[in-house]
Amino acid sequence: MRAEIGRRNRILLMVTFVLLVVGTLAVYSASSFISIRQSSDAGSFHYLLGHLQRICVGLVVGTVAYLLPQRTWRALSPWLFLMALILLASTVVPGNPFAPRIKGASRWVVVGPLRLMPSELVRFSYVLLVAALVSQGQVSLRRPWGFVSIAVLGMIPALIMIFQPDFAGASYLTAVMIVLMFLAEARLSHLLLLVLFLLSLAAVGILSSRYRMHRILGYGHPTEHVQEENFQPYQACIALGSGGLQGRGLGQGRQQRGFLPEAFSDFILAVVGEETGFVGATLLLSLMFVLCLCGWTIAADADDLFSQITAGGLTASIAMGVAIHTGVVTRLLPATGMPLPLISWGGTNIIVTLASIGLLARMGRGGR
Amino acid sequence: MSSRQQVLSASRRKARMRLAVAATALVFALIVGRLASIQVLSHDRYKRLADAQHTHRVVMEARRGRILDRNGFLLAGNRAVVSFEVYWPSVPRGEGHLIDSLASRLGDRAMVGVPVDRRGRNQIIARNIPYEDVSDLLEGNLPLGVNWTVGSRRTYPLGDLAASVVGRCRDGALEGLESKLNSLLAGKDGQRYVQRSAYPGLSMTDPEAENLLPRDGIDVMLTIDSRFQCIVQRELAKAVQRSGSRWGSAVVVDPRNGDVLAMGNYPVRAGNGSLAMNYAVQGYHEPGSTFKIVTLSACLEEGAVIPSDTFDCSRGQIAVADRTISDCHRFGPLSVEEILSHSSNVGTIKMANLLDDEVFYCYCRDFGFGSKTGVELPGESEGILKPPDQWSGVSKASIAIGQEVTVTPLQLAMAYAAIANGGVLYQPRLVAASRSEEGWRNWATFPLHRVLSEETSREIRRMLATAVREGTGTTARIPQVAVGGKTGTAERLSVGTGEYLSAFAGMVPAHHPSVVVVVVIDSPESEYRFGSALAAPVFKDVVSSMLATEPEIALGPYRSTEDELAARGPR
Repeated sequence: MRAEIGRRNRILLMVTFVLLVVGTLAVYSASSFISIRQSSDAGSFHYLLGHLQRICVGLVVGTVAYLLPQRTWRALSPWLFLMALILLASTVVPGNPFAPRIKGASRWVVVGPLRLMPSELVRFSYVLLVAALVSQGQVSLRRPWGFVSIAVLGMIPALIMIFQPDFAGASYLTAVMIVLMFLAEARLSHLLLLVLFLLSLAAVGILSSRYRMHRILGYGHPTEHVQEENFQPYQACIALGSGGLQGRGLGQGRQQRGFLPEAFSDFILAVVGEETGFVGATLLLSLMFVLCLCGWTIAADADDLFSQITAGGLTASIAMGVAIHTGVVTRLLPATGMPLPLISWGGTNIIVTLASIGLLARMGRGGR
Repeated sequence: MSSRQQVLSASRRKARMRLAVAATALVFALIVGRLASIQVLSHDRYKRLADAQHTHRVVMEARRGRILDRNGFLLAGNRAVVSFEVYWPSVPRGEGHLIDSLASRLGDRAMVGVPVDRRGRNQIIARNIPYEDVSDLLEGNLPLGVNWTVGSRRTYPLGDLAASVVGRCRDGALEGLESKLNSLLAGKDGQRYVQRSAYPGLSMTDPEAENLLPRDGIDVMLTIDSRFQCIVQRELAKAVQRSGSRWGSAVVVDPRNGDVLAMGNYPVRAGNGSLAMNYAVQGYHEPGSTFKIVTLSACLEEGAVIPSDTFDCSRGQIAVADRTISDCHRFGPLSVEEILSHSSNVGTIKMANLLDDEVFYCYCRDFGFGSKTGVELPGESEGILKPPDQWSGVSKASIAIGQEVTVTPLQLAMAYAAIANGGVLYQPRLVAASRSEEGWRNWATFPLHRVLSEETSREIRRMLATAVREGTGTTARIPQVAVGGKTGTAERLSVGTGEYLSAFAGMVPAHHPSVVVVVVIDSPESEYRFGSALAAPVFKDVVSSMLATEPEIALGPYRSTEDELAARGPR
């Protein structure tokens, strides 16, 4: 048993390492052209260096997450959540100098060279908080009031995200919330009601925003609106499709030369798919799947409820990140900006994901 | 919580966990399936789309060959021109006024008004502005979103000089030599496949594509001498305007090799500004008395007549078939020389009657009439010369005096050149040399065949000199220089309209010519209708100016003692 656990952790860490290497290569290939064009001092390495810095920070954070015992996390979780919530709320405060509008939305807290995306922290700390509350018996999701309080805890930050506006982030968080509640034994009838309620809210949200409306319309009519709403997914499909079975070769991608916006973050799978083809993209997704499987088995095998729910919630969070990114790139979902965990350039995401994997490895080790 | 409940809760969590794993597997399978559909099944379609937006074929224009005159002056060249285009999506918000100021700096040459009225995504601001006019603009910073391309435009630095020979190349429409020599001049455009980025200016040549360098066109040097060309065009313009004529044409030929030294027309341009007809090769007309040398040559060469013969000109009238042909004067008996110098129709017809039809026709053909000269110009006319089996009763008599036959000024010039050079007909040569990679290469001259013997041609040159000295051509006399030539006055084809054609064909110096000049002016007002009244003075003015420019012309081509003696000739 112990040997098997050790092997699973080794697999988890190796897969993580391989994905980080792949991601570094992909980020460099996808960003070098843009980097040169923006004529930064670092030449073609501008985004690569940033990416490596964040990986280093993420490795430190992940190691710390691995070393801290579960009870510390349990104790920290309310404070973490509160801090993340305050940071998130600060982004929608009008005139906040630390939350500038970038590309039409204020989703980031910027202090000097540091750039933080509070929504990533909120998702992470929400999983910990729910796990702590449920495992300590303070809240029972089987009871209506327990269910409602957990749901409200998740929907407050989701609502703030809508004001950023970050509709995709809000959806992501609510999806994680529902899976988390499902794993934490919420009643199916309650969940069904919640889903219906959220869907009606989403309908109102979509209809109330011209921008989102167009995104959805563009999704429905892939060949129209190619120049506007549908431009990015269309270009992503061209990248993937022109890659073919075996790809154009490393560094041979053409779409990242300005045709595919956000090639190194929100559409990085398209770059991977263009350069390494269906074979490469499938291999990458297989690694992702192995990572998720490790997460799920850790959750299933964990001895205590806190570890079970935390591991399940974090795995669900990573899996859904992958699903949303690939869904957007392959045009299964409407266009939105979602990084591919461990691969994409995107500071907070990579740090939070590495912290999650550190925690998973801790819980996979067994013991408390 | 009871232990039973705890067991239940644990097994529920296990079940839900398994469901989550299954859902994850399902989602990944779905995505992989979707990837397969995009990357494998639709690969061809997306590859086409990708190639369409990435690869761009750029044509690299070949430099068109230049056209030079025999002295190396540029008649047709190329200049770099710049076109400006604005790509509106790249123009930053609030910087539209920079485009306006660019347009106002370009002034009249801009194709847009100020402020610029936006049209479409790509809009042309100005086209084909000479590079040197905007070089300072290009060295500075152009506003964002403005692209410029350098092209090449055909220019004719000497304007309308020799325009009807050189022709024009504008927007793909070709005329004159530009058309005839296009296969030499055009060269071959190259091509380059470029991997584009979405940003203008950041593109690179695809090293694996089929890139071809352009092959530049070949430069050609003409036999035209711009100095003589200028003289010819100036004198023609003056004469045509003064006499109220329809058109005029003049050709200057070097008889020794058939080189066309000048070929002028007036008007040069038609009413709509495009080039007018090149009358020298397209304006066929009845040659009138200038054609009489053909009759005379045939008779002398065949021995039917000797210079000392006399003919009774029967008081200026002769009946031919059902018609009567008359002279201007009631001449009595005239010598052969006098028949030519007084341009007697009756005498010429009587001489022609001594010849067999077929023989006479052969001489006309041998002088090059009735067929194209083969000059390097498009649309050449061959004139009309009927063969004897189509002749009516008056045909032979009419042809003998230059009616019922049509010729072009160039044909006439080549025929006179044959007399001038001792009896050899040349194909006119317009291109002296062309420049390939190895350097300049001379083009051959084309002597076609001998028409007359040296003796006959010398005899005729002597008679032509007499005609200018004492006959109808006195208005062509030039002090200090012996001129040989023949006037011609032809009633236009449409008989009875009172329209005439005034012509003069001459050579300088008379006995050993270095140039032959033919002047033809169509439909002058009636006071100018005789060749002696209009064409001959134009000849005189042209040749005088040429002599002032190039006095060596007066010396003749070369002078050996033998030639000296021959030039004095038997008087």
